[in-house]
Amino acid sequence: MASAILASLFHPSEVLALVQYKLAPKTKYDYSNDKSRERLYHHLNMTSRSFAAVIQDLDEELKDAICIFYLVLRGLDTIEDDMTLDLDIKLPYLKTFNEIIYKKGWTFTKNGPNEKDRQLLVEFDVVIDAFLKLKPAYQTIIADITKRMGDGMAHYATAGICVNTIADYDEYCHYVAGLVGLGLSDMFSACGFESPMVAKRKDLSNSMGLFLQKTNITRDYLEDLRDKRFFWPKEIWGQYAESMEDLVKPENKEKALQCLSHMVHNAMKHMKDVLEYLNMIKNPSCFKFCAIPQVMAIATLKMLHNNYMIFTHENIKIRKGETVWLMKECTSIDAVAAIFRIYAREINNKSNPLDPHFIDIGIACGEIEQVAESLYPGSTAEVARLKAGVLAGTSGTVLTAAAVVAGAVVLKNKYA
Amino acid sequence: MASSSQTKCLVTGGNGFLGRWIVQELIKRTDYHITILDIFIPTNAINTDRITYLTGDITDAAAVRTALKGHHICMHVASPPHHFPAEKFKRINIDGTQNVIDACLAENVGRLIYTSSASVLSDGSPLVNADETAPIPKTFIETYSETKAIAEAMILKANCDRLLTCSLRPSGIFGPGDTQGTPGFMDVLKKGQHVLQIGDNSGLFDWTYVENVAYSHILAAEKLTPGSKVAGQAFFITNGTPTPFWNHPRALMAQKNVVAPYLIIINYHIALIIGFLSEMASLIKKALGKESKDGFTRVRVRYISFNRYFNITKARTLLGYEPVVGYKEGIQRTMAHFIEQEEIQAKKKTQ
Repeated sequence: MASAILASLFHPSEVLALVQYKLAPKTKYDYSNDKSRERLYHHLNMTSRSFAAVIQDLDEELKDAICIFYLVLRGLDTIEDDMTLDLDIKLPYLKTFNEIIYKKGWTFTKNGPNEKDRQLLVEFDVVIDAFLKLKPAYQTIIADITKRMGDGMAHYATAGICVNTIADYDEYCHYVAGLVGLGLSDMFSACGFESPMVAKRKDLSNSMGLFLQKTNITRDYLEDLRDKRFFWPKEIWGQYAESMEDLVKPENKEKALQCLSHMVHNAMKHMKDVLEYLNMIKNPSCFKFCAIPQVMAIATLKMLHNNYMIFTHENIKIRKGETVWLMKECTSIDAVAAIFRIYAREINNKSNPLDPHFIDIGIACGEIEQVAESLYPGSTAEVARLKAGVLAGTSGTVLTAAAVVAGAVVLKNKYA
Repeated sequence: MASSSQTKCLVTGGNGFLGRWIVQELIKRTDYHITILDIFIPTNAINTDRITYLTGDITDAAAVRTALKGHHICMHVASPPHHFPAEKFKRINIDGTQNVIDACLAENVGRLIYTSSASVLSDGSPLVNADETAPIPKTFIETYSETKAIAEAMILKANCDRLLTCSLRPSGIFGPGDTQGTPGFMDVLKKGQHVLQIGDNSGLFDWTYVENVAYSHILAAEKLTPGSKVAGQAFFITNGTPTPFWNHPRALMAQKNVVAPYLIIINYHIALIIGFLSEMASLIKKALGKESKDGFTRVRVRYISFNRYFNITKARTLLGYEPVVGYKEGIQRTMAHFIEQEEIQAKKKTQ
């Protein structure tokens, strides 16, 4: 906490958000009266850093279904990810995981000892038991997405991940993230919280996943490079370097930054869809669940843009204070549109005019502003409110500091 | 010479920045015979089988009528540059336009396309996705906009069975041959003022590449047919890609490989105060009988800080307009031209 406050020292509205967050009564989720449910949420907390909190804040009706959806896909991912498993062992599991989740008592112990979520599969009967208790409509949705994702993983495991064109990039992101968006939308509509339209607009659900995934892929350049995984499409990096590894070389710094802004520009294209999707979401808990990851993504994208650290440091993140501030503020479509506008402006102002995508990024920012002004006119007042909050925080801090100094001077004079 | 069956089109101000681009587009996209009417025609201009040059002043009613004889289309493009005195604007934009309308009616011209300006909405307030339903303001930030709005209203009112009219409202025209915007930004660069920025660069501005504006004139001429929905209407014409205001000069300079080494960002409110003081200083100078240009004014501060962008759906649906040159391409072509011009100038000097 102290280090988070220190990091946000020059962003007083974040300090305020951090303090509020710390002082706010935490919803304690107590599952002790239901041992299997307790175990289920134990696994959720063990496997996900960011999703555990937002999932548990969902309405009771959806909470278990989405938790199980998450754990099923995490289980599938744990098999796919394990490089100690032979392909011919792996493939049948990937292709039939949608059937496995109906087999009471099924567990999996063949994962390598270093696979971080292996315990989830060792106790997977817990997840299956809970899955079988879900309403049939949710079971069908989870099984359907599991089937499609499993097939996608089997395809990439066999053929290798070869992201050549931008279309390949979109397709890969669809399998690993877009499908999750589709499944969640199906659930929102199936439970009656949201209109059937949410499930029907598959293009928008897909964009929700793509915006997050592309931001992560852009951020994780160095980490993926170390593991010899290449997700940046050749159609993009090929314009700046001979190979993906070349981007990291100091002599290619300028080209690397140009390539980075190309990636940022590509991700920004989904922002319009994200706003349109969030505008359909009416249930407050569903809204926060969907919106929080998206505002984190735009903040991350802003941090990444024109930032050479992507090529020198692994695991760079936005400030904790910024995260908490974003979580606090993203309560309505107008607020989210305002956050998008503020960060889009900052992205634009971080651009280097000599960069080949300088004009394109400016146009993309203009588009966000234009869409927000015409479809979410309330966002204009929200921009002013959020900026005033930041300004008040800053002037408050300056005044406090001045008061402290003045006080010290007075005391010194009095007792000197 | 034009054959008797050929459509004849007269372009007022056809030797100006936009006028020349319109003539080029007419040559490229139509088979019309073109008459260029301009107050200034270069001495080396020679008539061709497509183009006839005519020197003439549109404030001279008789001359305008003689020029329009035998024409089917008139594109009324002529307009004075921004730095002209107020009375000139009234003479040329209002009286000149009246002369053009009268001559069109007297000579049975049939179609009249007016080059208006997006600034007919400029009353100093922000323009956000503004479309043609926005009312014309009662007060304007400058005489130029006011006289353009009055002239446009005259043109649209003149629409009738005998004379079909429409008005085009381009915003922020730039391109090769540009005499105001782009050279202005180049001057800023020469003076080293490109490190200055007023406001936080959140206001969007619509810049329009000149070829797109010229192209919209051809579309308007072709769509002005009896019973068409275009007649009597005004249309905003832009590139459809508004960008943050300060991006534009930076993008232009970047084509010369120049980027500001640092930025001095002047807060919007502080800029307003400076603007106010500069207006006062200018007033005092004038009171003392000294000459003073209105440089840094509050109106200008607002103009470059506020949103100023338009909705071009009407042009898209009724005119079938779609920009033919994208904004980025437009920037590249414009600067390629200016860099070439500078090189020619530099060569002349060394010779």
